[in-house]
Amino acid sequence: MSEVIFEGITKRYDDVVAVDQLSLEILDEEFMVLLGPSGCGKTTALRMVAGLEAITDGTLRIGDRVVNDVEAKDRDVSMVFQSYALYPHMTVTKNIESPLVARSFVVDGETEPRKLTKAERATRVQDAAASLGLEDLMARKPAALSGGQRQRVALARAIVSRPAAFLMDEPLSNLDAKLRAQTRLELVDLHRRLATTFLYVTHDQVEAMTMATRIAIMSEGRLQQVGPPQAVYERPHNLFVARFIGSPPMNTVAGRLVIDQGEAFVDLGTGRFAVSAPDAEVDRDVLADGTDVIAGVRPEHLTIEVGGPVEATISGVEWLGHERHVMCEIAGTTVIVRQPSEGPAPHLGDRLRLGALPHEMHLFDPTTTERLN
Amino acid sequence: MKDALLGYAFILPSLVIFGAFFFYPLFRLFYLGLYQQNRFGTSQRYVGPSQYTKVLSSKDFLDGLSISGRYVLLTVPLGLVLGVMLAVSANRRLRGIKIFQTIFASTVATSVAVASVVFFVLINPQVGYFRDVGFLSLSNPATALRGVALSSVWQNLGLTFVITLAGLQAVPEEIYEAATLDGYGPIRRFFRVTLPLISPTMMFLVVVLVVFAFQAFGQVDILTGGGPAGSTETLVWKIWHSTNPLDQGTGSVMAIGLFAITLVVTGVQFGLLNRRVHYGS
Repeated sequence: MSEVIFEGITKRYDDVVAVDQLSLEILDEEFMVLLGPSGCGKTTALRMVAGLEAITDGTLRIGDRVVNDVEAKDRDVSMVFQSYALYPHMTVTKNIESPLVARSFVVDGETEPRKLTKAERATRVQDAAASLGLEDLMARKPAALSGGQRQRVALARAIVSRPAAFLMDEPLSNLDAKLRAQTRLELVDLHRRLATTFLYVTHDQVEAMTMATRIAIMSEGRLQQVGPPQAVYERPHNLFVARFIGSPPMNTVAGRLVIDQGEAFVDLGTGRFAVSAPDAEVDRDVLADGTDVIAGVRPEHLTIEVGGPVEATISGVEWLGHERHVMCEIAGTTVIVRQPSEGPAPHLGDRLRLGALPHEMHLFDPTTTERLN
Repeated sequence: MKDALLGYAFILPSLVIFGAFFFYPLFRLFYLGLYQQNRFGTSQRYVGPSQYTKVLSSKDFLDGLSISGRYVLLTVPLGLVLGVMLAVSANRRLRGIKIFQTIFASTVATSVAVASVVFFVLINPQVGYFRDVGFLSLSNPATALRGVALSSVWQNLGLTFVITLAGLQAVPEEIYEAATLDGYGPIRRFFRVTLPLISPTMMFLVVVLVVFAFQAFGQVDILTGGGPAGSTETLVWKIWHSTNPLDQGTGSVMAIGLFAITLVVTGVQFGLLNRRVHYGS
């Protein structure tokens, strides 16, 4: 039960910077998801917390300790690996017991760490196994378990040492879709029951959105944005986050800002969408009349409507059962409109008009890619 | 039916090769064991299975067997431990580690003859650099087998190293990392994680090295010629030296005996070790 704090953490391999000046505070009992495409540095960041990678620069704290030079086993964290990394020659019991054998622990009511007795170990293994429903599998070896069962054993092995923080590296990626959805719920439940800090790495935004207390989005070694799932979705700080979060992703179209009689619009070439007044915090000079911008709007905030302000041509329709994705061309850029699947589908080549909610328009700087409104 | 024919057609080439070079000589060996040749090898006389019982219980055969057995004990454990130590020490990501891996593996490319000549130069009683190292002395019946065994250990080290290294590299890195987080030190990690995971490799090496040791001939012939006082006359050396036509039947029986012993030993090893060997995930 501790916070994990990155202070300007950098990891360099020769000339490659894997993690660049990462500063991030993971609060006590928080479920923090590090999200990003492969190669963005999220796994490296996690491994530095685990003590499996040396830190090139910066300070890493777990609780009130600086752990840069603390050995992995003394960091009081446990990790669930992508492949689970169970010991194939050991039974489930032995696998779960493994973190208790060599390390010393501070037992409740005592102050000095010591090795656990055999009976204490057995009790802890029992507790961990029971909380993950593994009691009937204890004598089996990993080869005799299903993927989902192996995953539970890996989780049990992680919780048995009652660590200050759990580290998970894409633990659901080896499960099939159905089991993955079910395990997501179980992980959230486990987090609630254990009330411990979780640091979870994934490239899957659905996992991030559904489980995280907060999401930290990374790209090319840099932290892009941190926030609760809803905030990250509704107010992306830059184009990367805007395009990475959401499925289908946010539509982004180059345009020009027009201030007309005190109202703001973004002109896309075939018409213009109204944009609600910028927040007070934004410098109005940045959003002067004629500024080039990239306009972003989520597929569910675009509507096909008679008399809508922007003209578009239908270039494709995808029917998904519960909804429809209509691909439309606006001045050479394809945007997706998300529609309910009821009602007649638009036809390929139809010319029609699109509308958008002014307060759901996102504006980004084409050069810096930062958010403007 | 047609499928079966096609199947046999596919295995025909290997059947022919195995038949000509393996099954026929083996059968021929059994056959020769039932006969006694005359002094000039021009005619033979059927003496029957009694030759088997006679030879296999002879002092000559049992002496050879005991020397071959000692040779196994001298070469296999030492060779295995040294090979594994080298492989473990070279199984890491370091600049230039390939150079060491190549050096350690180099004896794979060495023939028995070359290995024996190298050791001839090192420990020959007259001209060897280390002729005064008593516990390996080739001129003392009590120690000569050790000297020969050492050359074998050296020669097989490359093979043991290469195969163990391959076994080590097949162990997923994440398992070692899990062990690191579990607080395993290097020794515990080796005995609790590494060794069990490479046990199939170890099993293979034990069988191969035992068979190699039972078949040792070249190093004996080159380094000691069976001496001094017959102290290094391994079974294969005795078989090879039964070239006198009078001894052909005897030699054949000994060869069959060696074959049977190797078969049994290998079978027992599979049986014993399989229980402790972990295969796959």
